[in-house]
Amino acid sequence: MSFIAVQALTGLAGAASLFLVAAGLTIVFGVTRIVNFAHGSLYMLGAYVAVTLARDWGGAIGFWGAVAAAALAVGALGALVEIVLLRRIYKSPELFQLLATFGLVLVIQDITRAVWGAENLLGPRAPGLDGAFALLGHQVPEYDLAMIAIGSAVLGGLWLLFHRTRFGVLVRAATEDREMVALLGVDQRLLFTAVLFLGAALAGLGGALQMPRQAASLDLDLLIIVEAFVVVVVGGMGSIAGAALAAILVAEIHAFGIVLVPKSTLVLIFLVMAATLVLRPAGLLGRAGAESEEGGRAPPPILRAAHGKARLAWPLLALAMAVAPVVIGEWGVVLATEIVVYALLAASLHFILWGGGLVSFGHAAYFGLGAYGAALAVKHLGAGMTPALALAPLAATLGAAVYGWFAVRRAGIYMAMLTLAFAQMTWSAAFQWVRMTGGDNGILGVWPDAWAADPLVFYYLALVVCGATIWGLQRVVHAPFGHALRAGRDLALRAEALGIDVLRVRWLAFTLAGAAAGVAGGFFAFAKGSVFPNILHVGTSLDALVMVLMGGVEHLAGPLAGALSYTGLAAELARRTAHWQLILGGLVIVLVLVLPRGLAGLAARAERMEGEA
Amino acid sequence: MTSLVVRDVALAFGGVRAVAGVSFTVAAGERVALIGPNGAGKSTLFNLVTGQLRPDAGMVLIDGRLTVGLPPRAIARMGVGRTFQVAATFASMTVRENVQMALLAHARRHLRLWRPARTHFVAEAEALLALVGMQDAAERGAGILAYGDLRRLELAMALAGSPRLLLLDEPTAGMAPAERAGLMAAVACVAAERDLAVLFTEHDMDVVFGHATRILVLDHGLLIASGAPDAVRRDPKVRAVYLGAESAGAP
Amino acid sequence: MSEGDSALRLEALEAWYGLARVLFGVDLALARGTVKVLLGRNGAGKTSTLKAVAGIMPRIAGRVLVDGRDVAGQAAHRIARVGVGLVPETRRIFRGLTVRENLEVGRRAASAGGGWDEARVFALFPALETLASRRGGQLSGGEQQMLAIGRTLMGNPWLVLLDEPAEGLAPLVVNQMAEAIRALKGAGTTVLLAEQNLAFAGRVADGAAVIERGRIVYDGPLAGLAGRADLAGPLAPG
Repeated sequence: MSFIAVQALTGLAGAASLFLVAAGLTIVFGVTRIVNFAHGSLYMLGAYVAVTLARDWGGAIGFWGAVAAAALAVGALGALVEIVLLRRIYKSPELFQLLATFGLVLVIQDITRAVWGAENLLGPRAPGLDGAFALLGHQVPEYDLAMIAIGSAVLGGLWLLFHRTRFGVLVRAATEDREMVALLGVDQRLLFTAVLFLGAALAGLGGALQMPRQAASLDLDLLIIVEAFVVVVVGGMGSIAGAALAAILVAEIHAFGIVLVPKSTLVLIFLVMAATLVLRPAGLLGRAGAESEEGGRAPPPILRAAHGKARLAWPLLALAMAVAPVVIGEWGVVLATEIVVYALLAASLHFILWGGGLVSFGHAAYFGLGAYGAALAVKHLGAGMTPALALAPLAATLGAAVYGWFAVRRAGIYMAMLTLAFAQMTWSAAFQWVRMTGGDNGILGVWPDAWAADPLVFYYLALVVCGATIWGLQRVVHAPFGHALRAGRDLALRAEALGIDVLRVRWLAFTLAGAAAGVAGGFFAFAKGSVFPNILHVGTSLDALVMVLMGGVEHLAGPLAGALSYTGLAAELARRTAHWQLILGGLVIVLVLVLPRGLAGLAARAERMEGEA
Repeated sequence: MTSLVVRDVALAFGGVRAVAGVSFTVAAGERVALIGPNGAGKSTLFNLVTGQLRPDAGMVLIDGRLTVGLPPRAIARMGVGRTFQVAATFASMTVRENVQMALLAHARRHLRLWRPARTHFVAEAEALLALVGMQDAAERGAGILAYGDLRRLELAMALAGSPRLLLLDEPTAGMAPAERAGLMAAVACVAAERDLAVLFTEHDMDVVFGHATRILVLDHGLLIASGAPDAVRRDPKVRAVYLGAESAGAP
Repeated sequence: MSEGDSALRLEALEAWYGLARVLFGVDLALARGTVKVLLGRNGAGKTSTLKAVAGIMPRIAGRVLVDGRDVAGQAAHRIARVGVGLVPETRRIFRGLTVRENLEVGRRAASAGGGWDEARVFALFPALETLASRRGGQLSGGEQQMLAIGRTLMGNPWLVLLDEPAEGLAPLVVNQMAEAIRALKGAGTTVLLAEQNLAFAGRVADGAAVIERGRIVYDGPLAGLAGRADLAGPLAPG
């Protein structure tokens, strides 16, 4: 009994910080309809700023002053982000909004690393609250109680803000109907900037308050954003009370799970999220219809099968890749293998992203499952290269089928959040399940069979198999299935009225894309000779997205061009600068800002001109 | 033969009765217009027939089979073709591919992975496009069509499933006045040729009185009149709530 | 009427929803302090005209002169601040907000305003006062309509665009709406009323315009409509 009470208290303390972050995310989304991926980065910044100031100022006043200052500073940064970046992309397709804020994640992380270094930063304890008190025979940190008190106070304060002030009433009104608010003469720009300030300040506060509990580190941003996504999906997007409820639920699962079923907390959280999605798709306290604005914003250009000179592009490309090794030498062959593998990864993502409008931010999961599938077969089953390579897509297919079944049920940003959360869970599993995966040490010794040991031979093997898979995907794009998928993207209502089961088509496509990514993953494992958890990390998903984006979303050859230029660029950047993340993030933001309606808009314009001519 | 039977159908949204017990039938060869003031329940009734909504009470039979509880795609497969209030086509496909998509879905071939979609049902698609006068636009992108052409394309797609029942939700809305009669004439022609049952909503009274064989008038979720155009036009109740008693000069 | 006298003047106004064109060159003028009714069937272009003036049509062309100033293409909140208030047909009440909070969203002091505040709105619609802490989503249609009008008045507009305020309401509530419009006119407010119901229009309007298929086909006194057989089609509302 006493154990339960104490664990429950620990859980509540954890819920406080999670709630602050999730509430900020949900408030910002409610008004701007943008899911701010950089919200976790603001949390991380809050932690760093608070630790630095608290050390500097010292004492109780210094500690709490640092917390407040961190929250305000991060809030101001949020407002700045709104003015400089978000304001320009409110009308962009959501994929571009997500990518822009993701670019911000990279930029902030690199800057944080430059300012504070890569080492974890331990914060001071809260003066006067650094002890523990006895509760039913257990020691409970005093600071936990302070966290619970602050979390409750913020919840109460938010309630007062939203129900007792004009600003709060306007925010709630704008969350329901932005246009009507404008019709009543409210300048939304001010409102949006203020909301970003509030949301960011909450994230900063959440990070700052964690300083006695958790060292400030560079991986906090993605750790917290994934948890915050889970919380808002479970609680209901746009609902603060839902965020509070779900934060408590998730934090308690952590608190009890870690004692009762250690290492399975992730599975538990996954199950909670899955159950919510099936039973209450809009979340515990969410209202249905929040998704009505999503999707189908930019008129897509039509896709024509290659004809005339363009018909020659594929054979020419294949020929170029086949003779490339002659030109580029041995180091080049290794890089070329990587490019071929990435091209397939990007093509598989492009297949669902463009072909189906399915925004996956967790494509690394299937790439990684393929790689781990192959590596585990080698390590635990003693499999040779060929069966291991065959197993790779099987593992990925299984993962994609399970995750995809849930993910395709939600459109747009929800899907992005879900796929990311699923991928990060898989990453954590690979990280934690040391006995199976070797954890951080990875799986080594995944080498090709003797006949393919020569890099040149392996290159040709990868080229043939990956190339054939890409070609197969292109066939599917133009086949009835690809059209049905695109029909669901263009207008799901119409597709259903024709008798097409849109969800089923999407699920099959998602699974197929996962399988193709798994093929790539298998080759990646053998090309590198090893597999580490970071292959599953969101960074890999982002790489794939940027490749698709760089190459041009609208063109089937885009992923190939993207893989080529991106892999080359990344290799070059990594060689020349330590700040490749900053440059990459900046590049993503610039891509989105320069083409605010997306490359889709550009291509559509060209198409329209062609049509009028 | 009676294609559509709606019997005592009712649906309320949060206590407000949108459709309050409506019964009617549409037989093959009939073109029935559903009219009424805004908020009368036309769209709700329409969506109850297509399966977008599920009634609280009553039943809907299509060709004698109960459809309540079935998703729209299942009802579509029972031989119901529909168009939407805002013309709904696939903008990223050509005009012909749109019709081919409809034909593929109807033939349950839309999950095939290999042979290019554009090589399926070419002749059938051309025939349908000719039917609505769109054969010359087959290669154009649906996303860049004029609105009137979109409407015609949508009609071809609705016809691709060889429907027995055609549901048209404001088929001429957004079209230039001159195009409206042409579209409705095409509907009449196809309906006669294939012995289709047609149910449509429409706000343009020229279209309604000029092209319907029978008119249903809905007000506050109830059917207040039903009959031939001339009878409905003279009905005092209809004049009071809908056509307007003051506009005594109505022909 | 010269431009200077017109509270609102539309010149060759065109509008589109995506590819669908809904207004085909609307010309219309409205004198200060008058109530003009815009008659026409569903789909004729009444709502689109009002939305175009208020700045929420996705695409428009032509001129929208408010008090002689062209506001075409401006953001909705700027047009609202010039003193134009739209009461939309669907009312668009904030369902999660109380009656009082709905009014609060609309509150805006305006130099040329009619001195509207919560107390005056409650005086105009006494029913709202008793419902002050009820959520918008729990109101009846008539109550929502009163709230929608009251909310717009809180911004002290001098030009009010009313989109079918009597639509779907019980006769008693319709009477109240007519009263309210007369009260607005009494306070010097200019009103453009979109309506299909000629009887209701006759109770409140000084002048009338008839719109059909996106074009104005009649603009003049209400009395002039009587006996115009050629307008019977467009006037048969629907």
